[in-house]
Amino acid sequence: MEDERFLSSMSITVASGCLVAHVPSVLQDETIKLLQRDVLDAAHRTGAKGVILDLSGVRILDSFLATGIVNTARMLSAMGAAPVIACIMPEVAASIVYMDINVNGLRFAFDLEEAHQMLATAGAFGEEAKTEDTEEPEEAWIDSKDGADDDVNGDGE
Amino acid sequence: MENNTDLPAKEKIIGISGDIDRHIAVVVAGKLAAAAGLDKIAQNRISTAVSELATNIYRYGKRGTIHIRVIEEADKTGIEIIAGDDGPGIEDVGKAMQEGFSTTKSLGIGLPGTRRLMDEFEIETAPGKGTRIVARKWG
Repeated sequence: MEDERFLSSMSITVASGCLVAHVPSVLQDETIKLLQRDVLDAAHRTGAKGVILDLSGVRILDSFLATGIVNTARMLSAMGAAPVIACIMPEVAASIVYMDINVNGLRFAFDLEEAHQMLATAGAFGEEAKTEDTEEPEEAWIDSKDGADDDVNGDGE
Repeated sequence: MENNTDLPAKEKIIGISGDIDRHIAVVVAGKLAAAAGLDKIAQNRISTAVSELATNIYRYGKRGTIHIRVIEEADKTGIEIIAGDDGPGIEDVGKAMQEGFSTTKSLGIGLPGTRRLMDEFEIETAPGKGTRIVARKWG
């Protein structure tokens, strides 16, 4: 039990209506499972429309751990909560690409601000968080299948 | 030529039998790669490769070692990782090196991924004989 508390030392906070999961720096096999469980639970409990996976603390992401993160994002998508993976360190990004981890269909943000912007543009927060100053944020979307487009056009006029 | 005993050790051997050992090996690899003067991206590639190899040991081979050392050749410096285990070995190496092939989930990306992270990659294995992988990354 004590182990579990140590391993699941991930904090999930709510900011501007979406969940932000701060992925711990030391990722272990077991941590990934707990992370998955905790994030999915929190998304389900809160009915969040957007979830940001903040990887700013992560220094090493091997294929097993990366796949765990990617799968968590896909699961969130399947629940109807738009996932954005944010704040990947440059060297971690390089390793992910060298390993050829499949990240198709996922969205990435440089920082938390951009992640929030992406979710707001996607209509993940409904009416109140719609941003007026949209300077083509669509371009930042690396996506092909996009599970969160249901509200993009919201209420037209 | 150098008898400065303050120099950091240029190699380490870490016994691997679980997740914590993997973490130790990753940290040691990062330190040695930094000490060898490799850039951050190369350091991360090496640490990530060590993570992959260590995971393969305790997940498939149960128990083994990761030997990490600084290597020098002509005018270049690098890091060599030797991962060894006395586990069941890999029956079909060709298949294990194929993209997407997986006996238990992560091997499918694990070995080909490690090969791409490093500059040189050799594998010796046979059923019942364990596995020995040597991988090198130059700065």
